[in-house]
Amino acid sequence: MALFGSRRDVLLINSINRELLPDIITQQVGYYKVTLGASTTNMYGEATDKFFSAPILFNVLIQRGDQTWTSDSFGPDTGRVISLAFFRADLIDAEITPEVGDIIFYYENYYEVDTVVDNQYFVGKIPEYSYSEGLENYGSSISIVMSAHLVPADKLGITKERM
Amino acid sequence: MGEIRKPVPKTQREISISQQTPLLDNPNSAVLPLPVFQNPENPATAKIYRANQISVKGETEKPYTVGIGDLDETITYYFNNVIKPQVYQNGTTIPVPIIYGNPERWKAVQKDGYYRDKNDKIMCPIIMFRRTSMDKSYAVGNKLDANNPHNYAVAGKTYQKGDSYSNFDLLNNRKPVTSYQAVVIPDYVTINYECIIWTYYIEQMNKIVEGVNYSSDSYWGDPQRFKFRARIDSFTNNETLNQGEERLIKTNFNIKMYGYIIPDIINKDLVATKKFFSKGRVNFTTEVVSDINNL
Repeated sequence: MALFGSRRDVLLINSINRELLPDIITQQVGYYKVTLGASTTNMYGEATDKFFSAPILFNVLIQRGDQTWTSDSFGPDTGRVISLAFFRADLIDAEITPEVGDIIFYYENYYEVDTVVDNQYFVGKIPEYSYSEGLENYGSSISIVMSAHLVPADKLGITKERM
Repeated sequence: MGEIRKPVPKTQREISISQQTPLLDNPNSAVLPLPVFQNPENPATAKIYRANQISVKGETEKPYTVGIGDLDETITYYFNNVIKPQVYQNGTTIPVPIIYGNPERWKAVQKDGYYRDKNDKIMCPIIMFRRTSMDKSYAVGNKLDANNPHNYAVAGKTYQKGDSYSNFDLLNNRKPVTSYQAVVIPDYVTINYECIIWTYYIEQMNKIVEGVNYSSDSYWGDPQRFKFRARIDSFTNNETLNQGEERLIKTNFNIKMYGYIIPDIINKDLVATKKFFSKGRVNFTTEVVSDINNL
């Protein structure tokens, strides 16, 4: 049995986060999941018509990368990568399983999730993998960190972008 | 003390004359200087023959000129008006814009907003083309010498007011005169273009490539202007999926445009014949010399 990181400690951390994210930091994004059944793909593994579930609002921590500009024959083009830390308990409450390819809506821009990292464990362990008796109530996965890149808004078809 | 005189400004003519420099070193030479347009030192004007310089005033046809820009425009015209590439995306049909490569930044970002979203990110599909090289083609024809063109394309013109013919002309053994328009044989060239099609999806790319490939080996251009044969030999597909970037579906192909150029430049205007008339009457006269060695 471990000395720290019991269920009670986890609840304390969770309650702090539940207050910190929505009431103090209040950085919010919308989260879209691709509706797999409706978005039919062709042999190249692509769907020209995509369908998404209704967006869910999350309070997150955002690290915004700078807008990057590249120039080629087509002229200047822009891109951006952002990193978002989701409170795992919020995702569980919303019944959202974050996956690569999900869409995040932030400040009128759409970002496609490139990576999903679940590696912030309270006291370094999670109760789902308790190899010794008594450890099933210790530790917790606090956050899920995702990196996402800017997607041309018209590609998704969520909002009308072309005139 | 001298009288104070008001300065008298030179007239425009006096200023012009003061700017002129004589062709000969000695301005007092008895040899009359050649007019500027017959300067033998300049190869472009050394063989000017005034008899060929017939005025084209009042002509309805402008002298033919075909520039490189005209050839470039044929591609834009053909894509926009004949191929009309379009793709299906998110329930709508989207026409594919075509742009010339490497535009100025302000134009690309601020003026060409129709293919950019509000972040100035390029929205696909889009087609870019740009000229990469121009090869001269000697197999078709040549004007032979730019300083004194020899080969012309000649077109007879319909009756004009200046070509009047009456019974009086018939009595004087005159034949009807026809005016002809002469155009220097153009410089035949093969212009190579690099084109890139950029789409979000391979399915969209297939449709565009099919349309472009179908139009290969045909004559591209505005029927009211110039048409040139375009040839496309191969298409190269390029699909990349890098971390932190959008999935790129691009296809490169090269267009070979068999065209010609008739430039609108001063040395052509000075030397080349633009208009001439048929002979209305030919006279033979007799000259007698007392000594054949004097011929």
